[in-house]
Amino acid sequence: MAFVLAATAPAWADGPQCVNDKSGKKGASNLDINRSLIQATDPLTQAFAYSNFEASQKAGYVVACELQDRFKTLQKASKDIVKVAKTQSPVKAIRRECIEASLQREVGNQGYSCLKDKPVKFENAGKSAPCLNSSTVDFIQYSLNQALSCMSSGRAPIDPRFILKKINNETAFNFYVAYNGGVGMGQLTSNPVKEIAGWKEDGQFIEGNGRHVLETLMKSTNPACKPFKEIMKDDLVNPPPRPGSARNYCTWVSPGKGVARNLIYSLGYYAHIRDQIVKPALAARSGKLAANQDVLNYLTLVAYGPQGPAEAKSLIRRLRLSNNTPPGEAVSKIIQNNAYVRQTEAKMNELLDEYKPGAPHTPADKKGDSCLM
Amino acid sequence: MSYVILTLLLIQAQAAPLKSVEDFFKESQTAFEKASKETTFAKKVPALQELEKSFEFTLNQYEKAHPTEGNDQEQNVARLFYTMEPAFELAKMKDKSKKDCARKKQDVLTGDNQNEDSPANRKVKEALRWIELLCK
Repeated sequence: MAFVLAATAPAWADGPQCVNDKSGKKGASNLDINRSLIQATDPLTQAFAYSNFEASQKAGYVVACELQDRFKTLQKASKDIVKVAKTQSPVKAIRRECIEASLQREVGNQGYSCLKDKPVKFENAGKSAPCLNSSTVDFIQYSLNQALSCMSSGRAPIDPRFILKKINNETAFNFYVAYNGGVGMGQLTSNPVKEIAGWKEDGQFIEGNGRHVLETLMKSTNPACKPFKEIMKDDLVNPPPRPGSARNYCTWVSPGKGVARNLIYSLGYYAHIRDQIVKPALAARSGKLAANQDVLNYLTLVAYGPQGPAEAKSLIRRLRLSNNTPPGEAVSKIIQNNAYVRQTEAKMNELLDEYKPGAPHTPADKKGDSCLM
Repeated sequence: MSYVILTLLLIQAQAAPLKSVEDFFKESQTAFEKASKETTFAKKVPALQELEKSFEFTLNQYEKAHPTEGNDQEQNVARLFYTMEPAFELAKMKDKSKKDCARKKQDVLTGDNQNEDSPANRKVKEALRWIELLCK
């Protein structure tokens, strides 16, 4: 009997608990992602370590060890920054419990660890799937909420519930997943990156339509933007390597700066298509619906999905959205008529099954309200 | 007698199927061939603008025929129309630069949001070849 118990014990029984594999069903045991994060020295990892210095020091973060002496003076300032960022944040933050619930989902595909910025591929399933420790999950939550706060300043705030749903659907917070369909947390491809950072063609630099995303970031005085600004300070002049090639994956998925860049470009592109493409198209038919955040965000989800903005615009027309359409009816019709949005809603239900096991999903749960704090 | 003829004509007009996406691919091909014979941007533009008007007219007809909600056939036409929108916008520019051409091409590609190495679909190819023709 003792033998049977030992044989069925989860792979992490003697090691760190895998927050992304609480039941042990996945058998996750690869610790490379945690190791990469501990060794990261970028401004976002620094800011994260400062925000919880004692825990980072205990976990062995290089940035925490390197800055130990300086920390006594930095501690107060950084805690103040965190406090200011919290009070100034124009959006609510996403709860860690919901990120944990999403992380229980099996997403498969290939992942990349980026020790010393070199992409090393692993199968994101079974024993080779990464075991994420508590500190890494803290980092995911910290990075996402800081990025949401940062990207919500200087424009209409980004609704965190839709970002939660989108990330839950596409990668379930497996920020290291990359393939030709999308790279990292926001599943970026080269085209949105070109729209934001621009590109070179026949010796000429072409500015993308989404350049305002980086310009607004660089001008921001929101303290939450500081680490992102430092990481992306050259992107306006020198566009980053595109996510289309596997050799560039670490620019977009490495714990630390890869996650930072991925979040800014993903959230920035979301805001760009919402404000520059979907909102004007919707306003041309209905000013009332264009002012409704739920309708606007659901259509932005459509535009972020397969077939992009053309799909969203054709759906606005198909559904005959007008000032006479009640917003609730518009939302129901969008969900009913778009497979990508339906899939996003179904995956949200899977998250809720983990977050509130056995409890019925209320309308507020389904909207993502209970995942905010 | 004339009432009967008029009624029959009206019924026929109402029953005539609205143009499908395939009809628009054909119409675009005809317009493209016409525009290809021209050597200047200004002379190429009218064929594309005619095509745009034809799209708008048909999409409005769909709305009249199905005022509550459209169908798949209509949405397929609308998808092609919106994929070609950057080409229509380019045709309205008075002074187009190389950068404008590059940006409009990128609008088409970004607008389609496909996988990294997916071949361009038929709608995207149609929009891109029009932009290339206008920018030649």
